[in-house]
Amino acid sequence: MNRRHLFQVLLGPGLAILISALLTAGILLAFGESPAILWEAFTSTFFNGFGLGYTLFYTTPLILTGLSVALCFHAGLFNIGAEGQLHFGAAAIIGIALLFPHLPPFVAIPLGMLSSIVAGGVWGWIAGFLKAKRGSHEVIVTILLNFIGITFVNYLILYPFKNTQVQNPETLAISKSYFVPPLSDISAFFGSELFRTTPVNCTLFLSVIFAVICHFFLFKTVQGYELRALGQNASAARFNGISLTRNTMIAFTLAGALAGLVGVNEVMGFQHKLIEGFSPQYGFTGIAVALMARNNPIGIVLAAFLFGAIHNGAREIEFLSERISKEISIVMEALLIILIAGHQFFIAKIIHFFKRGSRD
Amino acid sequence: MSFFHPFIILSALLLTLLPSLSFPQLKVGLALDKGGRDDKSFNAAAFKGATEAKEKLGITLKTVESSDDISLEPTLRTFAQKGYPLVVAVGFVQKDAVEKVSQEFPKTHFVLIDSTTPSPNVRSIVFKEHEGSFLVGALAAMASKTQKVGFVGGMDIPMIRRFQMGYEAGVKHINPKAKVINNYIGSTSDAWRNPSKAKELALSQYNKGVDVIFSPAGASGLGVFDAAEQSNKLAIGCDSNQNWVKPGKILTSMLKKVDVAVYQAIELETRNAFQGGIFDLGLSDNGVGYSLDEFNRSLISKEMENKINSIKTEMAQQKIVVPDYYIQMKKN
Amino acid sequence: MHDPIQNKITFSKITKTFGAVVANQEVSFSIVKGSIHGVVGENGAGKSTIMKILYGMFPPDSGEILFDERSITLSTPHDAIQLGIGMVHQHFMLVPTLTVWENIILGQEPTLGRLNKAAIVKSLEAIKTLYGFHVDLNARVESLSVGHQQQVEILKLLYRDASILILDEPTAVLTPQEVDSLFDKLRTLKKAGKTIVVVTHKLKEILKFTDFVTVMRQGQTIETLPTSTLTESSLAEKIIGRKRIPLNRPQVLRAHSPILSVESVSLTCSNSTLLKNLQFQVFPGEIVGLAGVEGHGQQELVEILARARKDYTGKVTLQGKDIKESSTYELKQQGFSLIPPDRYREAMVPTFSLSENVILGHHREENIKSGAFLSKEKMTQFARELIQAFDVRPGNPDQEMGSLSGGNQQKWVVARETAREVSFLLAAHPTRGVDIGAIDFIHQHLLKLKSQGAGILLISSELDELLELSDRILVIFQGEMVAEVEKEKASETQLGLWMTRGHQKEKCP
Repeated sequence: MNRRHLFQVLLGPGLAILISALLTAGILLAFGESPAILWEAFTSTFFNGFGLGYTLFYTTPLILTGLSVALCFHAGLFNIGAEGQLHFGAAAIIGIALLFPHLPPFVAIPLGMLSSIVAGGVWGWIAGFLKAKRGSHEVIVTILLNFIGITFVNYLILYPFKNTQVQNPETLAISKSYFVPPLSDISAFFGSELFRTTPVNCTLFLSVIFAVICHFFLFKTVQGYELRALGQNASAARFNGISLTRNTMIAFTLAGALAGLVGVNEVMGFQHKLIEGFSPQYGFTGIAVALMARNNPIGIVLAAFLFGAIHNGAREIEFLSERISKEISIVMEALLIILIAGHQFFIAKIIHFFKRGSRD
Repeated sequence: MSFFHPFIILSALLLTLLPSLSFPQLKVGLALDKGGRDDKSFNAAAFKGATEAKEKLGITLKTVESSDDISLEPTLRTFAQKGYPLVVAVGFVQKDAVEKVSQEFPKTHFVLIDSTTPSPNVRSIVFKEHEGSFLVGALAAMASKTQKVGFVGGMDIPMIRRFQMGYEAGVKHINPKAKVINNYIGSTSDAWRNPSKAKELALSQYNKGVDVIFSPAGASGLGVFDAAEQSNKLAIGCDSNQNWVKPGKILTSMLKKVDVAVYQAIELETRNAFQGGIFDLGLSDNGVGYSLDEFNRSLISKEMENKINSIKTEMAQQKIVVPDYYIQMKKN
Repeated sequence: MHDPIQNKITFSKITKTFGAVVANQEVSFSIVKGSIHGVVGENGAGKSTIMKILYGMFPPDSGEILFDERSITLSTPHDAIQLGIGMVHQHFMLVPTLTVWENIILGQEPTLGRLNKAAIVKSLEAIKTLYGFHVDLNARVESLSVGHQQQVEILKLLYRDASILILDEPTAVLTPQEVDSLFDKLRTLKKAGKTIVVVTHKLKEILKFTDFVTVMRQGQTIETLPTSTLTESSLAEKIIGRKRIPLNRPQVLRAHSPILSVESVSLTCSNSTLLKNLQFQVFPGEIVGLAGVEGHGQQELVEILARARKDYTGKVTLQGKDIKESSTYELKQQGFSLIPPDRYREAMVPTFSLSENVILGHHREENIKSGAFLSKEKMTQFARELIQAFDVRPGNPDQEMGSLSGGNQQKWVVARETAREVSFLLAAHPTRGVDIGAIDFIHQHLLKLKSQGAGILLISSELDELLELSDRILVIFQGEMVAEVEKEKASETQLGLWMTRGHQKEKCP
């Protein structure tokens, strides 16, 4: 990828961010609030260890769900089911951790991760199976599987795994050997206070590693090639012996596995238990993340960070303004999505305008 | 003309400086849970108490609603970091967060509503919901013509069971033959925000002959009020005084005086008299009660009022002991 | 001196680039109003680009268009329509579920108020009788033949009062009879004073129907001349810039056992018979042509042979083995190759690079991958070899295939499908939308495969092509084999008749 190409790839999203920020600032102004608070909220989510820690904590699951959605997009499939898949992954960890509480960490941690991958993968596979073998539309299937999956996991939280000692609907805590170390432990080891008291943990590295793996998988392996060929031109792929059925199931299984890993961040990395309603719709925000990154796995890491920062910045906005509530972050996210989705329309027009201007 | 300029500038300066020139105000942070200040019930009560304190005591109030459960903790921490001497955390979901942050900031004072934590700098406030529920149960039984009353709980958790148990006991105290029909909206936190489901349940109870329904269900309770209006029956509000929401259709409200508790905590802080520890507020502490105002005056006769007052006295004298679900739960 | 200039549309030094690709370089020529003007050139010669500039679809980088000596700016098709310029695209822009008259007014309908159908139909009927069109205005477009759909497109332009009609590859999808009828209408239009610009690569039509020809090559105009001064070979030489190489048809003795055998294959789909008792064989070393108007079962036959559908009755064997019993991959390993009818949709992944496209179907072979990974090195190596052998331009293995010209894309598909040893090749429309240079190349390549002993089933709507290459020609009509002739006994007219009317009397001699 040469420099010019990279510039062109980044130009669209960059402009979208800028325009949505300007529009949001305009909204603030219209409500008599200083747009400067937007900048203040923005910096507070990036430029101090505390804010950054939470931003990165939100980034982690968004990378994973973004990858989950993007992987399916590459195969020409739309996975709206990441939300259900990640619930399954998280519940599986609790199940395993409560069943085998006394394992040593070097067994417990990989086992916990594996269980989330398998559980998410199975839930994803069901969607793939129904699409491939029964011809059901994957959008409908995954939406409905979300309802079933989330309800089932809520049942697990409220009944078999419930911590009856507390009012809050949550499960019993998992044993220490399953804990994924928070980044603050690492920085404390080096005598730093960076990320202190923030929940960001080593799952962040895991998710970035998975982004790299996804990149290699999609663009360097035979299997990834088959998925992409199918996504780009299904009939040409089929004329050349690439099985639609098999690859649909593979895509959804892998997507589910990626989404399932969100459970590692939530359960093993942070809460150490599962709380009902723990996901602020990571699965759906993942769609926006994938869209923003145009399904590029490395781009997804950056887009997830951006959405993590916006989500985190909402809290800061609450502090900074009397008139504006946290929902402004939803407005900004929505603007971003519209601008990215309408990329051809808005951004291309702007780029065209400037190109014209520079030529004349 | 130019004569006016210095004058205008000066007065503008004065106006902007005035607030900061006055006596330094106490900064109070109010952290609400997902219900938000507009739930007309539990969070609204806390918000009302804090707003009252702002008006009467001249404090600076900053209210923050959490967007998800993860942000509860950083919200409290941000308040502490920004030097708020008093932070009020509303809702039992904040228990863990308050526990953690209060240990990190031992000099900051916290108020935790509806749950308890042992840190010395936390004022944990819980309520004897069963006592208030007993009173409204008694009122319901007196108002009922069909001898059937209903209960629509929000989320099926021990706390709401406690409401239910007190309510049932109150009903039976007046009329041992009366029937109580119980329903819960759900078992997830969505149950607090599901007025349509609440309305459905209430309508079906009214159809079965119930003519008074008590609904401790957060924002979902509004659905029960709708059903009461539609069926021309009665409902009982909860937490805040909700009599005004549907005047004439709301028999009374079981008051859980979160507003008073919050106001008191702030007031103590302004006098540098903050006290940590666990405060379990019942009828005798005026922590719970029932509401009587111009909106429901016509629904509650003098006779009913006298009966309730005598029950109150008997409760104070321990002649009536209201069953407590928490104690029952521990026994099992 | 004055008059001729008055009545011309002149392109003056028009240059248009797309990124690094120069599509038009200082293109200059004039179109005389009231004439039929042909624009010819190989694919990628820039003829479509210059027409799209005239239709306002993209602005030129430099140069200008003169209209009666006056310079005009066209920034959108709307501007062009205002000036009376209309275009019929190669792929029709019609809404299949709407009726003819609805399609015609689409984009011109009043934004407020009701449609006055009676008035519209009345004015359309007038246009129809004036120029001799025969289309039912109330028919749904999806129920019309391709030829009639084209008439709708032209009517649309006439309804908008276009005086200059641009037709991009108008005959690509027509039968010989439909072609004649189209040009009859174009002549009528010309007599009525309309100017017609035809972009095509079919030399016969150019010579037969146009008044002037502009030859383009590699983005530049080579020459504009009166058609009467040209012959087929002189025009072809101008287009490709060199002499054509005559085809060398090798004679191969027919082997005893067929490579492909189709045995009583029938296909019914929701009560309509798509294929009816097909029965034929292809032997090693022979080219069997399958003639027929499009939509008479060829697509279904291709899908059956490509294993894309299995809901047929009867049996297809390749080297004696039922194709249902092998996977597509296994068939490929046996030397079964396929050039699908719709290149863009079925044969390639436009967004993939050349090297990614050339391994499609080969991607699980050991000499492409290493372990689970694709070997970039081996892919590029493979691509380079084929680029050289097939003279594909531009020859960068990393270039997106969609950005190549149609001819080069098709060469690339042929390269891929014949890169391994071929025992049977199904070539469906192998030269559709391909320029003369590439046609020659592909034809020669097919003949080379034949001489190497491959059996080829050639499906084409171009009778010239079938007659030139095939040893035997089968004719399909409404899903049924209606005729089979040895190449020597076949004539274009006879085939054309069979294709359009079936063939009741002499069943397969």
